[in-house]
Parts: sequence; C-alpha cells; structure tokens
Amino acid sequence: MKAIVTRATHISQEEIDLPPELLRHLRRADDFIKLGVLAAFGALEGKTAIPWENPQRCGLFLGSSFGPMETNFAVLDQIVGGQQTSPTLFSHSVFNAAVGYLCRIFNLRGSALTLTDFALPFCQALQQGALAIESGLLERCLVLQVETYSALLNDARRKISPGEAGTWPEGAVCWLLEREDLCQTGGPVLHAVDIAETQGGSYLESGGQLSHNGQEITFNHPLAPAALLTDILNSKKDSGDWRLITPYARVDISLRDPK
Amino acid sequence: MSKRSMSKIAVTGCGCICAAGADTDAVWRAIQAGLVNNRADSNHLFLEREDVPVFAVPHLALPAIFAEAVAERAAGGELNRTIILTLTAVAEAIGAANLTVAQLRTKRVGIALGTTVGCTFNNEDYYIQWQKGESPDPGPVHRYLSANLAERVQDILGVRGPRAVVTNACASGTDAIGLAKMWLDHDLCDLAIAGGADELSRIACQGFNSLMLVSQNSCTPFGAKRDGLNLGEGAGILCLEKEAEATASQREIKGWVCGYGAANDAYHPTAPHPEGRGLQDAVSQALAAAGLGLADISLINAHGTGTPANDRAETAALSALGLGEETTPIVSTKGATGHTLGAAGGIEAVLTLLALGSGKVSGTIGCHTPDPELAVPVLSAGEEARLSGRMGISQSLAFGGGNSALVLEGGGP
Repeated sequence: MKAIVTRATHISQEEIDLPPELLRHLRRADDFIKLGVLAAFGALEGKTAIPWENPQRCGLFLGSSFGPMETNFAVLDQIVGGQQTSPTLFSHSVFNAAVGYLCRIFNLRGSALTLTDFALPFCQALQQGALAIESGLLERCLVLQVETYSALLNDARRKISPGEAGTWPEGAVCWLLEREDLCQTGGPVLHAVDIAETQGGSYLESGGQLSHNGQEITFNHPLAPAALLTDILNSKKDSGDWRLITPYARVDISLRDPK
Repeated sequence: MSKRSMSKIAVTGCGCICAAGADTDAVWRAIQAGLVNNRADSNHLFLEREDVPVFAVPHLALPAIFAEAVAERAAGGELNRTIILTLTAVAEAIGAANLTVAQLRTKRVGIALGTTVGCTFNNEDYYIQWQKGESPDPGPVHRYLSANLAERVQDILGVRGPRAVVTNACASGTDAIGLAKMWLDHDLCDLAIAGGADELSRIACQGFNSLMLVSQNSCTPFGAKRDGLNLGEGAGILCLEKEAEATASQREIKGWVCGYGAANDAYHPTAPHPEGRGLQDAVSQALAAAGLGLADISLINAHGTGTPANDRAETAALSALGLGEETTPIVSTKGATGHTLGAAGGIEAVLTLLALGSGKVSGTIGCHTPDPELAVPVLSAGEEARLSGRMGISQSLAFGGGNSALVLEGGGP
C-alpha cells in the first residue's frame, strides 16, 4: 500500500513564534527542537495531538545533516570550561531529542527515528517513511528535515570554501504521509524515492539542482532541496517526476495523481 | 489493512568487538566465564569522578583487509575510533559469511548503522582554539564531514546501495538492523551490513553523569542495589541476506532476523515510561511481524542497563505482555560489555544469536542478588539456563522515548 503526501510545511528560523499551546512544552527547548515541532504543528494543521485512532501506528522519520550542533557545543563549552554539565542541555544535544519532543507533544507512539546524513537527509527520511507505510509498520508518519548549523560551522565554511556566500538559512520541513486507504483529504501518491549516492562532493558547498516538469531550479544550502520540494508541492499541488542532483547524490522522486 | 511482512532474513555473518573481546568468539567466551573487563577511568572522561569504571576496548587497529582501500581514499582523512570499531566488526562479519570485498562489489549492499557519538563534532582542541578567535587547522572539520558512519563504510567497501545512519540514541543499533530487514524485504538491496558502533566520549560520559545515571562501581543490571550504568564502546555487526540468496550461494546461515518492532513512549525526554508502554508495543509488533507469540520465545536479551528506572520499566513491560514466573530466561549482557550506546543493539543482537544457536545462556554478570521488586524474575550471575527453543528477543530502550525489538532465531545444528 502506497503513501499519500497529505500535507507539507516549511518553516524558517525567522518564523519561530510559538503559539500558546506549544509554549509550555517548548520552554526549555533549543531551536532545533522548536523548528521540528513547529513544522510538524503546521503539517498537523495546528493540532497538538494527532486526531487518529491507533497512535501506535503513527510515527516519524527525522533527517538532518548536522543535528543539534550548537547545543552540542554548549555542552562542550561546559566540559572544557570545567563546569558541571547541565542534564537538560545534554539531553537536548542527543540527536533524537527532537523526535522525543515530537512524539510526546503529538502523541506519536509508533516507530520514530532520527537519520543523520550530510547528503539529502530529507530524501532518506522520505524513503524510510514510505517504506514504513508500505511494509505495514506504520499507517501514518511525519517526515522531517531540521537544520540549525552552528557559528563554528559557518566560520569553517567561510574559511574553507570562501566562494560560498552567506550563512545557510536554518529551518525545518515536514511532510505528512498517510496510507492510501486511510487518507481522507487527498494528495499525490508517493510512488518512488530512488537515491543514488555519488562520491566526491564537498558538503560545505551544498549546491545542486532540482528538475521538475521541464523546469530547473538551483539551490545552495542543505535544507534547500526539501524546502523547494515543499514550496512547489504547496503552490501547485503538483505530481510528476522530480530529480535532485548534487555533487554527492542523485535522487528521483516520483509523485502520481491518485487513482 | 496492510499485513506486516513475515519474511525471515538470514544472518550469514556476525562481527563484534567490545571491552569483553576483540571478536565474537572472545566476547562469547568472556561472558560465559563471567569476566568484567572494565577499568577505572583516571584520565579525561570523568573530570570530577576519577574512579568511575568504563568498558574500553584495549587494543584497536584497522583491519588489514581495509588498509588498501583506506589508503586509496586518503582524501577522507584519518578515521575516527567509531569507524575503526565498525570496520573491525564488519571485517569479521563478512569473513564469517565467506564473502570478499570483491564479491560485495558485485551486489547491491545496504549499509544501516546506528551510532550516537560517531555523528558529532567533538574535537576539543579545534573547538577551544576556535573559541579563542584563532584559526585552527581545518583538518578536524574535514574529518567530521567525512565521518558519516554509513557513508564512510560504503566508500571503504566500494559498494552501492541504500544507506542510513540511525541516531536514535541507545536503540540505534537495533533500529538499524530493523531498517536493513525492511530494505531486504522490499528488494532495495541484495545484502545488508547492519548494526551499531560507538566510541567512548567525554560528552557522553559527562552527560550521563549529569543525569545521575552512572554507577561508581561495576554495574549490576537487575540487581537489588543497582545504581547506574557503566559506559562502554564497541561495535556489533550482522551480515544479512535474503534466505533464498544465502541458500543459493551455499553460505552457512547462522540465524535469522524474523521480526522488528519500534515504538515511542511519548512520555519523557530521558526516562522510560514506568510500565514500558512503548517497549510493550515494540515487542508486540516484532512478534506479530514474526508470526509468533511470547510463548514461542526462549530467551530475552534485555536492554538491562543497571539504572533503577530502566530495569524496572523493562521488566514491567515484559510482565504486562504476559511473561510470568515461569521460565523464559531474561538476561542483560551489559555487565560484560558496559553500555555501548549506539553499538548496544548490534552487539546484543550478535550475542542473542550466539546464545540461541548454542541452546544455553549465562546469567547477568554483576547481578548476584536480583531485585525482588522486579515484575519478572531474571537469570542471575553464575546461573546458566538451557533454552527451550531457538527463538529469542533482543530489545533496546533509548532517550527520547525510543524502544525497539528484534525477534531472532538461532541457527546451528
């Protein structure tokens, strides 16, 4: 059984504005967690608990290139400074901390995994999400990419790849996938996600190209492919074939109109 | 309604390294002998509690079969310890499967690996210099960018296929094996190398310490006076193939991965749900995927960290699933390996398969007096149980509320 892409959201760091129903949950959270939760909140149309029966069959796959890097450094700051490590900070530095928040807030009790890869992590998460639905492991799942980077990384980019302009924009993308027979709102069918890794690219130069319906759009930061797919999907409700090409991977995503 | 796949995936090779031993046989012998090879860390991992024991791998070297490939790929820079631990276990697993690297290159090979530390930038010298406004040598940044575990292993092996690094804290290794099973079930690859790896790190040691989860003595999983875990390092790897392909290639089958389940507690950032509700769901899913019930299970290799909350929740979950006073041995191997975080699920899957294949299991090292308050009895140190069958469960719990379980079947005569 295939997955339908029911809804898709993209949020940038500048748009972090916590609604009252999330404030209590996120008062100690870092931006990585906040962005993930806000993107999911959008994909779930402002609900703080999933409206479906069987939360054990609702899960999520969160992909990230760099994880909560700044929070990691905050812990490192305490360690190299000889201070006591903050348990909250440490627990937030663990890569799946955001997944824990997402599951608690939205009552997602199925399989919930964080996947870390420098090369197109959203596509990897999307592939696993579709597989989880096709295999029967899940009925519904959120697929996310969250990126917040760090001052150290931005500085390293400027020094190592001086041709790369500006800092990478932080943000998050979230898609809601639903099993075909359970989906009531409609949306394109996720027919296939084929990932072919290549070698030789530098992850500090995150440029690439999205081809779709004869159009070619270039991008230049790690979250951009997922954000572009989301923005086009939302503006046109488009199905069709999409190809992402970067120096380190090529991904073909096939979306079909429902029968 | 979709039905879960009930295919069995063959395990044709296992590899393992941890403080208990440098390969699978050595680790197995150490557990049977009840050896505890931890040592007090007196250097840098714990600044304020210098006598805290950790399970460190004493000797580590890049396996010879990968030396050439690593040298050819010098652009990637120096390998970190987590990658060398992984390659050590991978070399053993593919050797045990009678596979050469050249043979692997003719197949679609999936690489699914769990880790926690292996994905972080934790070069303190670089960080301190950078903080001071200096311009440190960029080598550590390049090394970090070339240290994605699955990508690096894929590159060194020279193989193509799906890859994933699961960073689901302490359940990462179990989840990685589950993902690999799904890839094989759905024909995304012909063969998969799956498991987990992690090295000891100061951030993890300090972090667990801050959460009051670290014992100052050797850990005593399920023990009445347990007071925390000992951290460890290592790697555990399975070589997985579709049964038909393994049989056609006349490779010896050492066991099977029959089912995988994963579920979240949706409860607390670091503590398990008191009744282990996510674990109950994960185990139920794994059993359903295998077409089995709990009565078919002859061994449960628990997460068993030695923290009061984990061991209580885990046994509560097993009780709620219907396990009673009777017989199914429940053990933890962390008294011999330490808690190896992202590696734990991989190492414990290997050890579960060995126990199921041998038909017997040793009790939990360190647990001389089991906690009488636990909801189900566990096998204590010094005890040994004959197993009533070949089906077992290896289960993991994680920060963030993660729970995952594998139903495994032992091979052998």
